[in-house]
Amino acid sequence: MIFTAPPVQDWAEAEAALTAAFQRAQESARNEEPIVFVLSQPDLLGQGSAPGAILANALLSGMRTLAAEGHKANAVAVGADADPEDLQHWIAQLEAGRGVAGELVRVHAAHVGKIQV
Amino acid sequence: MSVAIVTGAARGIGAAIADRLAADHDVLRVDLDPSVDGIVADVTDASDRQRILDAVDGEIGVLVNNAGITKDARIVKMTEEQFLAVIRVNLGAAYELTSAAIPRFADGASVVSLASRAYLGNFGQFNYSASKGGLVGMTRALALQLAPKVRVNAVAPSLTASEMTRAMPEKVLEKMIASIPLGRQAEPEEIAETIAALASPAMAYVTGQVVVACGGRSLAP
Repeated sequence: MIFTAPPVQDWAEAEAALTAAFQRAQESARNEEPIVFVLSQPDLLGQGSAPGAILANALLSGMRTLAAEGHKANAVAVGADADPEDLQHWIAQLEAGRGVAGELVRVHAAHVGKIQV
Repeated sequence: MSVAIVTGAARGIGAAIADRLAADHDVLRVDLDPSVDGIVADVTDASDRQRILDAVDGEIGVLVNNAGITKDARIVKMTEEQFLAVIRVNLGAAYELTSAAIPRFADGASVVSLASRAYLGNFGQFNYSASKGGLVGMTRALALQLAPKVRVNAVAPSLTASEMTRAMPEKVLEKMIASIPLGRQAEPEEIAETIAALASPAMAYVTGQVVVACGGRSLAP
């Protein structure tokens, strides 16, 4: 299952996106399917709107809890200038779910020198 | 003295925070519990949030988003009601209250939110972990948005002495404490001291950060 965090403008939209992520993650966990959350790196650092940062970081924490519960859950942090082919490559790698869980792979994320979320 | 608002202040960590901040601020204690020596309010209710802000005479110096609940279950068993209840109290209410307070903050004001070590991931707490991760995200975004006037930080405690830990079976508590390098749970007053430090001018150059006050548990095997 791949869940891409949508753009959100306020708390109501963030809550709706979180609920959708919960529903889809739960279904995948019950079916023992790999889970990949696709998140915005600028949102993880709080560089965009607060609702966007709330959503991205909530999903990152949720993904780590899914991994703690034994599910093949990972996430991709996407930079503003990410090459779509590179992004698809890493999503596919994580969706294959081979030996990694609870990982955050940063794709063109310009993250060096920033907080390691 | 400036005003400090503390949510979830009737007992536990929240009461300890309010008591500690009272040394330097006029403290407005907020809780759903009628025993609170302040305002009885439901922080998930917009009209109650407005009532909290209306009760402040002047500018706000400190806002501590402490109110929180748990409704634990593994993801495969968690109900949507459990998920939403935790997300709304721990995260949505904190964001909405902080947003509403923005025009009222004093120059040099400080927001401190109670995250949790669980934001790093914790078995049986998808809802709680997500809510605390969301608070971390809020902290980063508002730190950038409100600088240089207001600083925004978070504290992420681990096991802290409370009614809940006192009700735990002794062996369960002992096992949890054994995973903490400092060899004990935190006292609420210790977490309160960390929050007071972050809120104080002594930390005037710190914003957008999370202090993980976990006794080293987040490093231990």
